Amino acid sequence: MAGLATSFVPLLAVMSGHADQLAVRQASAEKMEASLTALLGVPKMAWIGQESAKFGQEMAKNGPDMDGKVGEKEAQSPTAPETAKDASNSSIIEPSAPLGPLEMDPDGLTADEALIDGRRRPGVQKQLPDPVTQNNPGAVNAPPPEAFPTDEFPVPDRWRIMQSLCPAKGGDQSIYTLFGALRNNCHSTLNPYNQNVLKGDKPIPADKKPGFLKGDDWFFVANLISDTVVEPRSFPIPVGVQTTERPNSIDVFGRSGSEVYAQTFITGFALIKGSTAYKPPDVEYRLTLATQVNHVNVPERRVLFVEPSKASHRTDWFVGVQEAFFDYHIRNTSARYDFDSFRIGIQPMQADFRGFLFQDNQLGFRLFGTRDNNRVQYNLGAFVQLEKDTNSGLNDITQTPRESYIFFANLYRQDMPFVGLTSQFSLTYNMNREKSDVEIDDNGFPVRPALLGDLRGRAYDVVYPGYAFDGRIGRINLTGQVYGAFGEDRNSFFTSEPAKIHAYFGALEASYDVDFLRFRASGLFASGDGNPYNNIEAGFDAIFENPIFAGADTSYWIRQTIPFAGGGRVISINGRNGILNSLRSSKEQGQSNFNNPGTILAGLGVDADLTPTFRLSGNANHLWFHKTESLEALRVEGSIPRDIGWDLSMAAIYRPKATQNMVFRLSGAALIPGKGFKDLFDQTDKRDFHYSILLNAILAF
Amino acid sequence: MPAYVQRVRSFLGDPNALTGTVAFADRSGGNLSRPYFPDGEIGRPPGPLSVAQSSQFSPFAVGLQLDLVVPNIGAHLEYVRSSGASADTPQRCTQMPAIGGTGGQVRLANGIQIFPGSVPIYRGNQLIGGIGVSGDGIDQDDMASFLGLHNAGVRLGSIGNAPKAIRADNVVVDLGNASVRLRYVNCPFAPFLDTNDQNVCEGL
Repeated sequence: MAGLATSFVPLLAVMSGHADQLAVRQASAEKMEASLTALLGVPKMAWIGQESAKFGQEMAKNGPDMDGKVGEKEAQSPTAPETAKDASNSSIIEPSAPLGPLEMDPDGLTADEALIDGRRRPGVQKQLPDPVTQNNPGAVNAPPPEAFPTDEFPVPDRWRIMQSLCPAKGGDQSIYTLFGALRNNCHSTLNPYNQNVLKGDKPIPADKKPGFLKGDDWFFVANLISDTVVEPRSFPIPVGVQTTERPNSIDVFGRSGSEVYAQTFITGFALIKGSTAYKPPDVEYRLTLATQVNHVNVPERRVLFVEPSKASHRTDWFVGVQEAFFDYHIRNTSARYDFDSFRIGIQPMQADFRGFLFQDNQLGFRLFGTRDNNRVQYNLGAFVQLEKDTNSGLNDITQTPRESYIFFANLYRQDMPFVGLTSQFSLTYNMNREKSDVEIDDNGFPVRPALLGDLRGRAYDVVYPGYAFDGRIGRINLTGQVYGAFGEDRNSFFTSEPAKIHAYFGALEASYDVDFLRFRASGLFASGDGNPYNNIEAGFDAIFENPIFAGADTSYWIRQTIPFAGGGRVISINGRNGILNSLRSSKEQGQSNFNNPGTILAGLGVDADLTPTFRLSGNANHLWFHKTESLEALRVEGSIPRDIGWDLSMAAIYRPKATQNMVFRLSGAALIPGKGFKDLFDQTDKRDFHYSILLNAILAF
Repeated sequence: MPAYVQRVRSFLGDPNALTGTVAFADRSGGNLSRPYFPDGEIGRPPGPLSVAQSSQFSPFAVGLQLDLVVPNIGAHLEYVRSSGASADTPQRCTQMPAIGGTGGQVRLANGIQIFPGSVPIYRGNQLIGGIGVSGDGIDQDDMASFLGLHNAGVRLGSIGNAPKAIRADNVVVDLGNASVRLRYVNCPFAPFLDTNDQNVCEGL
């Protein structure tokens, strides 16, 4: 959006019948035009940039949280036009500033030290030009500010300068004929892309600010997100033991198709004290509630409830506290706003780039910050796991938190070892003390201890050293992760004895862009346990995985849960939105289990950005168990092949406004069972594959 | 015993129950013999072949299963205790009356147990006997009986399992706020060695 060319202004004015006022207005018009162009043009540019950055949304990275929500749309104000036009025709003496200091020998200068003409940096003072002096004999001085009635300049702060120019609704709209671009700034506040005091674009007005908020620059941010899920899917389901839904259900496996409908409203409120886009907020209070109504319909009894008499469909709702924290900016450590902050309360935490180990909103304390101009980022944290509501997976703060504690430290370093690649070193310790804990979930199924093996409660200590990288080498985009899991399980459910934990994990995804296509190759390995009855548990399990990998929840194996019928009661091969075959009772409420068969994945995928608003993705993954001895021991079967099968999926993502405010996604996945899966499971439907269809609509205001 | 018959009829809401129109497998009878119906769900009524009230249930009071044999066991205990002064039990376990014209044969001479593992044998729609298997898990026992009978029927061509339409899993008990279907048999997962066969009883 460029401002109107100055030469158009008289023409427009004449056309709209304002020629008589032209002489009066022209002078001030040109002045305002210049500053309008500058002020409006730059935010628009920044806004576009922000959108295009979001288009790569699937790669959720997590460095120390720099959510500079305040001012995301506030671009740094541009340098004011250097030559202000003067209407009074008074002569201005512009001494020609010597350009000497700028014409330096570039040799021996780092990029930081180089002073580019027109660029300013904090803490670096260029030699200033001589002051402009006016030589205008006999002229009348400009009136002092006190000469103006204060009610004529109702501009409370710099965030409101633009809107203060907007004409009153129904009032004189003639200003638009002069400044057409002003319309872009005078829209309804119902549009989330317009400046809105309820969305943190402008600070709370001084006269409406509650007394307990000291100082200026307090922002209030309200969010509302609607997330709708319609999900027909199929997976092997055993028939009820005590009773069945239909007659002639005389074998283990029944029908497999089921549907989930879930509507979630996420409402967030935040109070932030901050000032500009580049300075992290000083103080932030945030509360985010998620309200979910869900309905599930399955074909068999005793899947949704422990009581066999209950129906095979269920409607439930829950309000979970997903964020409730206080964030305090302790100090800045450099002129580049490197900082130390802490955050206490229920907050999002992600242990690595792709959510392989821990990605959840949990209760804890986190000290975080940056160094070296944001090229080093660190996190130190201590978390306690909140109990989850069973059917929504949301945090239930009415229950006592679990005796599972997570301590972690990690360090991100940009451009290491190569330019464009960020490395992360992490150490995560999960201390679980749930040995004497008995937890029954909301549907009546025991989840701790898991109904597997000797059924005894257990505690464990696991340390996960990790190294990860994310970025690119040349034109190849790369993400990689290595974890080890070392520690002790106080009671292996196979031996009823303590066992050492020695497990490993590795994942690598590479992608290459060709025009609008991105080709991806993914590989993942999580070690399995090959000898269940020894004193080493070699199966890798995470704390709370949410992997964004190999198609994420578009893929069948990541999205769906496979009940381990016949091997354990209320045990799943893998978790929902999880990739590891961990034989847990529940990803949300169960304990980690290191007696598991492990996971191997190899896959190819392609993302096609057909238009800025429409993306098609396809994935073909093949999955295997690493070692099936633990499955054989639990199933009391002699031989279970490792091959799980092919996981083929497609997704279409439509963003009608090319923003994240409206995102519609339709995905379909099929699991074509391999020998191992066929050996373990069956179904009564006349269909030799399983499917997962996901219709997801996200509307954000 | 007539009291149990009446309880079953009231429980099923069918005055003509137990007159040979429904094929009960051992698993079906077991469903009706537990202290709660359906089994394990506290707050539900006792099965009609169990004790009259769930709270009366104990290993020494399980309903029909023990009621059938307790008089005979008691008679023998008294016989032993009194060193033969008291009369011993007849050489059977129950006091069921003899079937007329059979020379003294009685039904259920050895009592019953409620573990799954047996199915009735039919010739067409005619009940002609039963087969019971024990030795492995209950699902395996079910399969040995059910699938064995099925395969025998395939070989012999004259006998077989009960027609699907009269099996006990067509019986739905109305519990007021829930309806619970009886089971017939339940074959096990991964039943055979060295194959990946599953659901081998399905559709039979």
